[in-house]
Amino acid sequence: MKSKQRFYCDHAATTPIDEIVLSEIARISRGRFANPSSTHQSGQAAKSELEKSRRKMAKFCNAPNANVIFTSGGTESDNLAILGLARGNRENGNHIIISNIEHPAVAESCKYLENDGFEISVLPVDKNGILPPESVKNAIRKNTILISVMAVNNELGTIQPIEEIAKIANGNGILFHTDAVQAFGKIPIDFEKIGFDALSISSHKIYGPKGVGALVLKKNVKIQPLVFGGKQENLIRTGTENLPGIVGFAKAAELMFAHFEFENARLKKIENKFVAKLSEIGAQRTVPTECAYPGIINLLFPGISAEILLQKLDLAGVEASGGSACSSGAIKVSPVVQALGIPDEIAQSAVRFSFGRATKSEDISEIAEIVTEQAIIL
Amino acid sequence: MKSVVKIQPSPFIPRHSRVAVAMSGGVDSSVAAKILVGQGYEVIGVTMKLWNYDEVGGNVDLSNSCCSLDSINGARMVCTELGIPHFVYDFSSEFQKIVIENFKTEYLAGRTPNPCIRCNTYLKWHTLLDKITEIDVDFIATGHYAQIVEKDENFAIARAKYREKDQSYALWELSQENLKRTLFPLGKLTKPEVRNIAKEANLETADEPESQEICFIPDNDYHRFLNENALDEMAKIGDGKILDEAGNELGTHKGFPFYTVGQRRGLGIYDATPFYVKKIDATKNEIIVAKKEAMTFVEMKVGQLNWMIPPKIEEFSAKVKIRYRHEAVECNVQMNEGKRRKAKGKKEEIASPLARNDRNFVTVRFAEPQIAVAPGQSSVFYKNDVVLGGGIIFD
Repeated sequence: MKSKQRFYCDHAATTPIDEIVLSEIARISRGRFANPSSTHQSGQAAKSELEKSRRKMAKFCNAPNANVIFTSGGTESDNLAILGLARGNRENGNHIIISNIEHPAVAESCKYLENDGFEISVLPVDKNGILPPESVKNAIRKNTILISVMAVNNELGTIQPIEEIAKIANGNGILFHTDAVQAFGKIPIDFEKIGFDALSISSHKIYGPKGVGALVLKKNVKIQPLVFGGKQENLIRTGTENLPGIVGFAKAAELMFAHFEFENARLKKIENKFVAKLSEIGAQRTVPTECAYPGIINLLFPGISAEILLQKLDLAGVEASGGSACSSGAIKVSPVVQALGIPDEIAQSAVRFSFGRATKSEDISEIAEIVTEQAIIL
Repeated sequence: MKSVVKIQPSPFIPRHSRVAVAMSGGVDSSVAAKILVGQGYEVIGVTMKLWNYDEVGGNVDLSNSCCSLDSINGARMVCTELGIPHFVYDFSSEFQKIVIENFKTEYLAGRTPNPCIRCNTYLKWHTLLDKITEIDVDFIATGHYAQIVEKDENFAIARAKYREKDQSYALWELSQENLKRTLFPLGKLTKPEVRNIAKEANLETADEPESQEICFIPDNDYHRFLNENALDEMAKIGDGKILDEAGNELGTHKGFPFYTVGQRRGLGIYDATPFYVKKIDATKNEIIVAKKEAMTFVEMKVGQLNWMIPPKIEEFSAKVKIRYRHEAVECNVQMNEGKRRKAKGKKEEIASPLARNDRNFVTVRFAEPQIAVAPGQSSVFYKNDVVLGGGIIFD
């Protein structure tokens, strides 16, 4: 079989690990294998690395007065935020507000809480995939205890007005959580300035190792843990820490912030070039460019089935994604694209290209060419 | 039909062709993919998700059952080992409509269906074939033990070299268009050879057990399946009489769909020698039983015909196989005087054979009387190991 060059265009799913991060992980795995809870010298050296990473992460989020709780990833961080904050603050009420394009880690946690007597308001986004802050204000009740709105949507790339929503939440004495898994390291996230109570972030979306994330939690916010057993992470997330992963995460974040502006400008150029080329064959942006982070481009190919197009692209060497793949791997129409009010026959043509470091600027013409070719002969 | 059919290799296929292998996660389709990769085709593994095992019931270990998440993952692992892409298609709504619903209505009409044949015809060689055509696939391949031969410009299914696993019976309904685009890489191999290839290549699925007969009834209990999935209909049918052929009442039964022609167990009639179900009268909800010696049929009628090699004469001799586990027997086939139906792609939903134009059927006289001729079952005609065609028994 001929081996074709493959173009990875699925950075929103996960990213290739950075070489520097990888050597950092190797260094810690070899040299700092001891348990950070051990009181001997090796253990204390490991503990130092752990705390150094925690401080780094707090700095990158500008959260000097917050707790950084390391978790197993974005999903656990979201679960801990929703379940933990809801249960920990139940005496103040039982109503939670989320948007209808939240990641399942948030949405499903809320659904679970409904069985426990919580009430959930799921607010619709507008046709641009943005949650109007006004609607959040109007949805607030006396018993509202938590608002959770993501920063950057994983499928559409839309940037949510979290600053305004945070103000509304803060002003009403309601806890505010943001799933910033797709946003961290890509758009500015200022924990102090925005006024978060909790913020979920993940390592493998920023060229770090998989299986590590964090929940940045404002001091003195009441939260119930999900994991019990030890004394680690302030009792909020016990269990021996994944030190190589955590140090790798912190290194990945450091590198992300070092190249922040340069990479965003490069991705913007890539986006413009890519979309311009594909609009020639009738592809349309699912949401306006000004609403979205440039690394995530969701395109509609009216009249085409995304399922077929994705497979043809895969065979031609372009790896993108569409909708939400279920556990079997079959592709279904995306509820997030449906949430924009787009009819199913068009929504089923939505394909997400997410570019990042694996995307070389000089390759974008060829990628666009392959997509054009496969979409035209469909 | 006098000429000896020469078994030839399947049509010449350019080596750069794109072939999709329908992979169940079992060892056969895995080896089929491995062979095609070795032959230099551009191979893609495809798996159909046909049902949700949490919806069909039957609380059993589903690990060896096709379409479970485990078997989809098995197929995926093999594809990764072989370095080929793997795509999953969710056809569960089509499968529900075309196979599961039909399975129910056939039993509720007193017939015994072959859901696997229906799945081959309507899902694999229709829905799936259409889907993969869209990604520019030239050929479909499966792990069936069968061969394709060409005779007089017609393609036909022939028995596998390995008789014990021969699956030609389940493929009688394929059209000429289907056959032109089909590869059966295992047609000349034995099962032990296939297992060996899998072991040598260390394929993930090398030790997969044989799959059971009906994938959506993983516990093999179709009574439970009908009770759970056709609750209202079964309640309406209720108990009925068990009669002998003279009309004497011998007992009661729990509703005719729970019985199949040839069944011995579970009748609840005690006698020196056992009774067997000979006929099912769905309209009267009656089961007619007989002793073994009276169970035989000398003749049957077969409709919904599909000919791979259309008969040129009105009456001919052939071998006929009347159920999956039946040794083909000699018979005389009498074409009906009306129109013959030529082999063609079947796109239309087919009504039951009883509702069809009765001129389009054959009358089959067995050389030796046969037991358990069950309406609803497929009947496949062979000449020298080549499938001439087939149909569905309706009388």
